[in-house]
Amino acid sequence: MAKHIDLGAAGEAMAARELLKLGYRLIDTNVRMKMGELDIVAEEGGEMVVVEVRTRTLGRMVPPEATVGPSKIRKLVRTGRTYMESVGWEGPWRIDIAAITVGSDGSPKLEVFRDITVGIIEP
Amino acid sequence: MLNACGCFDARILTIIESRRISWEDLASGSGAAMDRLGMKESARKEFLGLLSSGWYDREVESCESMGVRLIFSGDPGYPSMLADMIDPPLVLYESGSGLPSGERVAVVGTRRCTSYGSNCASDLASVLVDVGVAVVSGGARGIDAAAHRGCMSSGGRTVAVTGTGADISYPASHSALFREIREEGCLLTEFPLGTPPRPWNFPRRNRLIAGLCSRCVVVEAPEKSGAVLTARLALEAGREVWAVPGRITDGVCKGSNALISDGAMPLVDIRVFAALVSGRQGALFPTGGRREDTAGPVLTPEEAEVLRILADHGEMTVDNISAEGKMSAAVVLRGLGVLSAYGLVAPGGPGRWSKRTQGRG
Amino acid sequence: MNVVHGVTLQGIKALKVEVEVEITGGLFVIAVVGLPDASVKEARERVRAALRSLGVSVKGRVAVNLAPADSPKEGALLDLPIAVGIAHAKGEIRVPGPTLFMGELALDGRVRRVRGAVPAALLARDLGFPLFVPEGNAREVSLVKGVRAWQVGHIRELFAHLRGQSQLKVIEQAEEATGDPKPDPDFSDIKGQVAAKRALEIAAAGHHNVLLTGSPGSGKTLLARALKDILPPLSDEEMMEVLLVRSTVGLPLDSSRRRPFRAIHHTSSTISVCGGGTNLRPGEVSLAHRGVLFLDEFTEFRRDLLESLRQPLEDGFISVSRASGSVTYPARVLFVAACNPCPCGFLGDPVEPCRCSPSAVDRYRRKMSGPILDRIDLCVTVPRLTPDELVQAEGQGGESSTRVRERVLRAREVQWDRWKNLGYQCNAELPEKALRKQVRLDLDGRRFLKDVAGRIRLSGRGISRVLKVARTIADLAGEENLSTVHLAEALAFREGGDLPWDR
Repeated sequence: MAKHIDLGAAGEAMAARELLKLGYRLIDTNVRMKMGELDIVAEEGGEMVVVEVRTRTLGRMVPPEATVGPSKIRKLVRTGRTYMESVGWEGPWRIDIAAITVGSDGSPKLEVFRDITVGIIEP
Repeated sequence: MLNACGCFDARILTIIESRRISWEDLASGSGAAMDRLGMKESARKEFLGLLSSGWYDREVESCESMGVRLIFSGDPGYPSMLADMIDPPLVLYESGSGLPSGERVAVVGTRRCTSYGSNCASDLASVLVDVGVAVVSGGARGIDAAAHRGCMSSGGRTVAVTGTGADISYPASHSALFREIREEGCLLTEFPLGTPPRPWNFPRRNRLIAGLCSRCVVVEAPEKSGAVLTARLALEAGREVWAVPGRITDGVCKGSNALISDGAMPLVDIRVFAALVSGRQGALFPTGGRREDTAGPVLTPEEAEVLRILADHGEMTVDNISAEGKMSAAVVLRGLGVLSAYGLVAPGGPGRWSKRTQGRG
Repeated sequence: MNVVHGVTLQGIKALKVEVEVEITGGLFVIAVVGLPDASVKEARERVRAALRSLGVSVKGRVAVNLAPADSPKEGALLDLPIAVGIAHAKGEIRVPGPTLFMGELALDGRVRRVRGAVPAALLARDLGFPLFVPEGNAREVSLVKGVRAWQVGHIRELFAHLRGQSQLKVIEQAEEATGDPKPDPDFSDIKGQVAAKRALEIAAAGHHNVLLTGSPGSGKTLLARALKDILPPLSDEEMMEVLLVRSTVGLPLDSSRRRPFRAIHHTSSTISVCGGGTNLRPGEVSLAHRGVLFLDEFTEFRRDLLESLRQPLEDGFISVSRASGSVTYPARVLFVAACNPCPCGFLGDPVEPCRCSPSAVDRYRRKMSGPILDRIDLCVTVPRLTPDELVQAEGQGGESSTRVRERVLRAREVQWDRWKNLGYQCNAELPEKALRKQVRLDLDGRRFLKDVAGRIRLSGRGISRVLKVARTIADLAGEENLSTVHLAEALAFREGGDLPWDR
């Protein structure tokens, strides 16, 4: 399903553009690590941010942000931790979700969900 | 043993004689003898059962060991007044100091009496003793108990006729009372040892109470009460029936009041009644000497005043007494504390006190 | 050096809890050590929400340590100190020196009222720390002398205060309530019943426990309630004890010197009466400390509930325990018990007939025995007044509670003087041995008592009770020597003296 991958890649590009507008400083994209992949790594408000990009065409029943389930989150946390260690970042960091919805007319809409692990992660 | 079969009285003796049934035959359980007697099937079975189990010997032995005397109809000790009855008892189980001879008066009433009734019964019994009369009652709670106690506290002899065997105390809480009665008077019953209190025993017992006495006084009884039955049995036996009037609004004395309207004599003055019974005018005016005999306490003026107010007004609250006597609550309470300790006053209900003339419950 | 402190309650005492915060890198999480798990989750949410409402964003791993770690703590009281601790660690605010904070946080940052403010205030005073409490607790804290305290309505105000931008309201010490509270009910409101009122006067004077027997509608509850207003007003020390208990439960407080009155029902649970439950809270018997505990329908009380009231009766305090530990609460009360004369309630009533069988009455009577009844010195019966009697009583102006209280106070003074060397305050407190030694009778009195005791078969305990009550009666009369007059009145209140004799 090439279209699916296209959508994904286009989505990531679009997300990156929008995040810049929101004041995020892009650090890296498509980071491949042993246990997983990080779509975008950025810095915002003094924190490092791991951004997971999700795209969906309008009309599908599940909103894009809901596709990030607990196991995916755990994976992101593990991957994120490893990344921070590898680059030597000891400060605070968080995980955001950039959800892109493509309308029926083709126009994309971006929504950012900040700090999705709050209340979910146990210390 | 015939007695123990539960359906015979002394009339049977005459029948046995007139039909010339031999005792030996009966004692051996001869069917023919029982036929001649006209014994019912159930009685026959019972009788034969007792015969074969050797009941008689056992019963006699137990009575001996307990100190219970067996008095048979026809024995010299058998009360003559009972013999005059239509259906006198075959056997009497007597324990205690023996039936007092001389004048006997029955004092009966309900178990659920008021303090008024209890007081009356007790005081009546007590005054009767003073004129040499013995008090007979049923040993039950309420009026009966008050009468027995009133009698004994004045040093008199009382007779309790029970509806159970001589070895059973009913009610159980009266076992101490019965012990006392045995010392000061006696316990009588028609029923064999071990007979439990069955409802149908009591009417039979009531006729004995009525039969033993020349007069029967019903102190306080509702309609359909055992005491009313005793009164009617007394009437049938030709005895005098008296009743103490009660408040016409109270259900507890509806029966005793009804007796009055049916012809019983109203007992409105204890001393007058006592004088009548004993035929002694002297009873009307107690001597000063007797007062000292009972070792009455010396009362302070305040205590005497409280007592006087209660005597004049009947049942009162402390508020009433305080208002009437213009005394403070503390002074009234002081008086009541002492008077109640000496048994001269007692509460009938929460906060309501009344005088007791003589004797203590 | 940790400057941020919170409190936790152990009984009516507050213990200090140090709040240590360390912020490091990593995913944002607030880790709290030293609280039970359930409370942690809730506290975290409240704190985070409250801080966010201030625009204080917290990043990274926040480790909060509440020391000492092993003592049981209540989450809600610690919300505010945790929030302050986190903000302090971030450098958002500065807490100048050791300070005590107390309060629960709402999600929008408002600071909610909590229980235990008075114990906390006493702790703050003893430690010399300044204290910040919710607005809703200001009243309580104002009743404590010598503490430096401020009231906080919203966490924003607190931060502004700590930054020096504005001032929070200082909690001023409250003025003493002038004048006595109006007696409710007043003795003069109760018609007639002079015997019962006399009994209550004696009970108040000597601190004797009372049993009121009477039919339904005779006014036993009203009489019991009137007792608290003829008792002496609370002393400073006693008032602080009462405030401590009430604050520990979280009840509103006032500065009146009126003695507490608590009524318990025979269906009350043992925990509600004696204390216990999750946080080992005090029960009714402690809320009645220094006042009156009323046990209505005394004969219906369960055996186990009566047994558990033994300790307060005998020792004046009650121990409440759980697996996590135990705590003692004060429980020095004047017991007033009330019961009917029989199961249907109308034995001996002038109007209503009694429907009970004699054996039912006996069984009912037998229930009136046990540890509580043993300690009741005064038994008085309360007649149910008929309408006529009530009308008659109307005309006789009864004394006011204030007048009666004056006599009670004088009698108390006499007792205080007499017993202070032995360490007792009232005649009722005297144990048997001391009683026999200290309360002397003259020859007449001894003869009288011997005579009467024989007639009514008074037990040794019964004689002691009569002596104690007689001593109080004499004190009320201002007499130093006990005479037969006092003994006689004491006899009227003896156990069983009020009962109809055996029917």
